[in-house]
Amino acid sequence: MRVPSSLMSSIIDQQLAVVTDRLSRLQREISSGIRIQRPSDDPAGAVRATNLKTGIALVNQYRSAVDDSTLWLKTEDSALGSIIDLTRQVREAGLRGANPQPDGTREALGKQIEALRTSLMQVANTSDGLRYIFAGHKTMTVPFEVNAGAVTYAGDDNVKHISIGAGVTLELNHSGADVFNMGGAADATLPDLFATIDALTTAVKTGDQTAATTLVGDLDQHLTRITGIRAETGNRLMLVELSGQQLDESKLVMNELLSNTESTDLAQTLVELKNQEILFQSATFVASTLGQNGVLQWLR
Amino acid sequence: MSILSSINTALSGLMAQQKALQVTSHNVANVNTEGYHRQEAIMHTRPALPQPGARQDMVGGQYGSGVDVTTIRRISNDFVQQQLNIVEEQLARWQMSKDALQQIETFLAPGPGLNLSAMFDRFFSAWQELATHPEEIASRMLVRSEAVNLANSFNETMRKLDLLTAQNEPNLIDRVERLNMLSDQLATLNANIGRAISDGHQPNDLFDQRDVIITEMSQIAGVQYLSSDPVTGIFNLGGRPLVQGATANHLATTRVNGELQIVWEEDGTPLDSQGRQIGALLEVRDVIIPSYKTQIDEMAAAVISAVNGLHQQGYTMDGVLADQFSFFEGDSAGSIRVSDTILNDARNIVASRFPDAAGDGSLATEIFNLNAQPLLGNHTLNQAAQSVIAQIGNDVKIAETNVTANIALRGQLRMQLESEIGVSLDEEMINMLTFQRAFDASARLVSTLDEMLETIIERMG
Repeated sequence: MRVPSSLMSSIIDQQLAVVTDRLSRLQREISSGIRIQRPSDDPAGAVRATNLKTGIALVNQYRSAVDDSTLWLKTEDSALGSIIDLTRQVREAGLRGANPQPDGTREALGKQIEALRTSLMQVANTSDGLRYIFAGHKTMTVPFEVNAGAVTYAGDDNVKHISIGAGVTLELNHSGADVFNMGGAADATLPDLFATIDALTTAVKTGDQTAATTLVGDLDQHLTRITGIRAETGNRLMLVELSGQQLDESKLVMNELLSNTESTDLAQTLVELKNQEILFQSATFVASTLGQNGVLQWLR
Repeated sequence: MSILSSINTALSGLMAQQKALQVTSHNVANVNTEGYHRQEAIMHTRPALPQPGARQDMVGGQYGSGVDVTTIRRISNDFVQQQLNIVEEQLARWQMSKDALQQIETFLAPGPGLNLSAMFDRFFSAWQELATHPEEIASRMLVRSEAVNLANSFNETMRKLDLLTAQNEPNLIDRVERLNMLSDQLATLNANIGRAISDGHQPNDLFDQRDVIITEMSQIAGVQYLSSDPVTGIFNLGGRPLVQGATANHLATTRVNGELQIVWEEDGTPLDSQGRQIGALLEVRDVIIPSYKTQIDEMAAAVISAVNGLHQQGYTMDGVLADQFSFFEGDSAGSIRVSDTILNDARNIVASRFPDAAGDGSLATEIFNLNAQPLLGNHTLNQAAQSVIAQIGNDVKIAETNVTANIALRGQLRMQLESEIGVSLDEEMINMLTFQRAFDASARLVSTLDEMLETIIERMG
């Protein structure tokens, strides 16, 4: 084949252009750690990466909802524990008041129950720092207040729903109405917990043993209900913790997939970089020898 | 035979070698000229002379009378040249598309994780945050700032695509003007070539120039040449003659409804050609950019109507039903913006369907759940955004592959062509030696013949 003078240089020129392009691409991949810089580097991979990023963003969001719900449920669980504890103490005092006691003792028992009711009020108005947890949707309103000696409820009996996973909705709260049976929310025939306690105080103080016995029975019903609610809260806590674990796991898997999809395989890319560097050096060397061999060298 | 006629014969050798050396010089001088085809001097013996006089001499045969350069041949290979032109046309077209598509790619996915899909992720995550913390003003401010981000990236993407359309026009005008200029040059060349040929010359260098011009014209508009005869040959563009012999027709640009159109200058008929650079520019403007704009507009419209539809059913942080204002205003990617009511006070963002329910984030959850709903046909917003990314990725990749393939093909064909028509300095140097030696020998002959004459004149006198 005839090899004209311009041919050699144009071939090397073209080769150098190809190698420099590859080199700069590899350098970018290595320095950024990301293989897919533009969608066209790998359209299918780019879409997979975008998809995974959406998934990871979702998981992060659900994870933050899980953390938040855990805090709420733990607060609610300990509040319910206190409520049960206090109600049991009221019940003990009421039971003693339902039996014949000296006047002084009855007065003292009445005082004790009143003090317990005040504590119960405090627990009923528990907040997680910002939100009242036994207020239904009205989390920014103080739910329990004493009006003319009786406890009134300013919250509602609505349930907060929180998404903690795709299609997984958690009923987060128990309203004050449910817990304390306000407004006959759970049992219309049963007076609310505070009214029961108030009535018990009066019965103990006045020595009305029949009424006291009935009211202690009412307290038992309240206790059963609240214990049931606490068990439910415990279940929710378990569910939330389980979801949290699942979310962590799926985040781990998705992060790994994402890194497989769009991260640079350093070992492989570095080897390729070295190869291209050698090619580049060879090409420049050949370019430097161009025109050194020819008839002209020997013609004088 | 006289000595004098022998001197003439030697002289013809001197002159022919000198002409051949001239051709060699021309080749060496043009070693780097684009489109140059190497030339060679073709030598033939001059007509032989019969023996003069009434009575023929008894010597058999005729005496040769020397040599002449009869043609300066231009080495060419029309077949490979035409294939090369086709590849150049394809390459020019794909290069044009690739440049535009890569710009669009930069607008749609400026970097890893910076695209509409990521914007949707962040926007909807903010709503979920609000659903979890409906009591807090901070989560509303997050929703507001992510909504502003989303609207901005819609606006910005659209603005850049519009800018690209606008940048397209000067390119089109430039290509049309260049084509007109080339048509004029071609017509002039055709005239000159025709004249030279009718005078009995062979204008090799004009042919070279003509090939270069035709290649560039093909790259711009896919000009077809029906016959390469310079005098009568017709160069067609979209079925109409662009250059016919020494006559050139011109294209012009005009505005129809504000849009640049390419027409024939003669009668204003629109140009009917889909080819090459002009075709690629028109495709970018009329097909590619509008297709992306439509998809982005659809996404914007879907997010506006879906979010607004739910938002107006909710109550603000102050317990007011939000049916008197919208969350988003506008109806397309270019016009989407967060409404002033929201911008002025983030408390106007709703989270609940109920008044006086500070702890309820159910409506925010519903808005968050929009991200999983098929708002665009069968596609969620994220899927639609991803399909745009996939599409631009594939479009760019196809264009890049075509550019690479055509560059490789061009390399092969150029090598093939260059190996025939290119100037090899080694070869020319050898030729130079050959012609120089022949010239020396002819000169020596002249001086020998001169000595013979001297012998006759001086010694016989």
